[in-house]
Amino acid sequence: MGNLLGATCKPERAIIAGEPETLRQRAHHCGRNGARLISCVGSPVEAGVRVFISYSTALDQIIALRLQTIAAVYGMTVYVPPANTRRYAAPQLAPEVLSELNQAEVVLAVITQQPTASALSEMNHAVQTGRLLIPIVSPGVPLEYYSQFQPYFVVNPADPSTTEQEIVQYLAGKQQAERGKTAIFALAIFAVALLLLGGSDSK
Amino acid sequence: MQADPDPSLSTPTPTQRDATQPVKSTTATIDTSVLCSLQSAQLLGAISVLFDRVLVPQRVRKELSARAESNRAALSAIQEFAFFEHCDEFDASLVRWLLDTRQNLKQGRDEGEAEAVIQAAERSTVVLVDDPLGRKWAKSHAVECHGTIWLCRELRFRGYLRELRLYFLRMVSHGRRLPLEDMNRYLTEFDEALITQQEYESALTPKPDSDSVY
Repeated sequence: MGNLLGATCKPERAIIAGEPETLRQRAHHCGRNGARLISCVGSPVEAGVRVFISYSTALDQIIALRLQTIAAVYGMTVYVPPANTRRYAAPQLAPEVLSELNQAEVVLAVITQQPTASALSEMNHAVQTGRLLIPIVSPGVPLEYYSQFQPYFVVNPADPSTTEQEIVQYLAGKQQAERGKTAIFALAIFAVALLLLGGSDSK
Repeated sequence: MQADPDPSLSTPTPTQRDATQPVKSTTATIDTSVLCSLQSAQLLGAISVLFDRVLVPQRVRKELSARAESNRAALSAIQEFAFFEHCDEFDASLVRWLLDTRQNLKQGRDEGEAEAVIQAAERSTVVLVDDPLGRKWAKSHAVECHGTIWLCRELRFRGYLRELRLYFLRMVSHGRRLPLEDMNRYLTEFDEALITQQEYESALTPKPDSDSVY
C-alpha cells in the first residue's frame, strides 16, 4: 500500500527536490514496487524536462508509472510506454513511442529482468540519438542483459548511497542534464529506492 | 443524478481517519464509474501509487464496450496499464442474488457494481465504486469501499497532486456528476478555492467537442 512507514504525509513536506533521504522516504510512500503522459500542475521545481521511462517487461510498468506520478509533482513531463508494447517480439518501435522517445531529453531505463525487444530498442535508440540514458538495474539481474548500455547503475541493497553517488557523478559530467539536473537526479534516486523496495518486500 | 456522499466524510477529520483506518489491501476492484471518472481526470496511472493491482470485472468491461466510442480512452487505458487486470472468476449466483435484492429490478442496470462488490468480497480487496447502491452493497458485505473523490483526496494528501480543484473540474467538465458538497469539503481541507454551484453547472454543460461519458 501507498504508505509503508505507517504514516501519511502532508504534500508540503513531500515536495522537496534533491535531498536523498527525503526522496527515499518518499519512495516508501509510493509502494513496494516502484503509463502514459501526465502533465504537471502547480509551480514545479524544474518544469519542462521531458523524460522517457523505459522498463523491462509489462510486470515492471508499475514502477515506471509510480515514477511518472512522482515526476509530475516535480514538474517533469514523463512518458511511459503502454504495457502492450512489451508483448511484441519485434524490435520495431510503435510510432507513438518513437515520437515520444525523440522528444525526450532523458531516458531512464528501469531494468529488473531480461528486457523485452521493445525495451532494448528504446535504449538502443536513446544511445544512437545521443540522448542521456540512465539505466538503473535491480540487484541480481544478469550482466548480459544490460552490459551494452554503459554506464549502468546497479542498485546495491547493502549501500544504496554508492549508487546515488555514481549517478550524481555521472550527471555532473553531462551537458544534456544541465536543464532540470536536480529533478532528473531526484527521479533516478526514486527509481533506485523503488527497485530496492521491490526486491526486499514484494518478491 | 449525483453519487452518494462518501461515507468516510462523516468522520471528524480526514487526517484522523487516515491514521486509524488505512487502506488495508494493495488490490482494488474497480467499477465503471470510477474508472471513467479517473480516466477523464487523467489519473488512472496515478492510482498505481495506491494499489499494486486493480481488478476490472467482466461486467465493467462489457459496460465500457457497450459504449465503446465514448469510452474509447478508458478501454484503451486498461490495455495500456499492466496493473489493471481482468478478473472473470466469481460466483455469478451471488451477483444475481444481489441484483434481486433491489427494489427497482431494471434489467441490465447495476450489474457492474454488483459484480465489483462480489469480486471484492471474494478476494478481500478494496472496492472502488461511486454509485450509492454499490456502496450500500459493499457495506453489507463488509468490503472496504471508496469513491473517485476519495482517491483524488488520497493522492493529494500523500503529495502526488499539487491541487485537487483542477482535477475535480476536469472530471465534471467531462460529464462526471461528482457530488459538489463532498468535493468542496476536501477542497476546504487543503485550503483550495471552493467550486461554486455556478462553476459546477457551467462545467457540466456539454461542450461541442467534449467526450460523452458512460
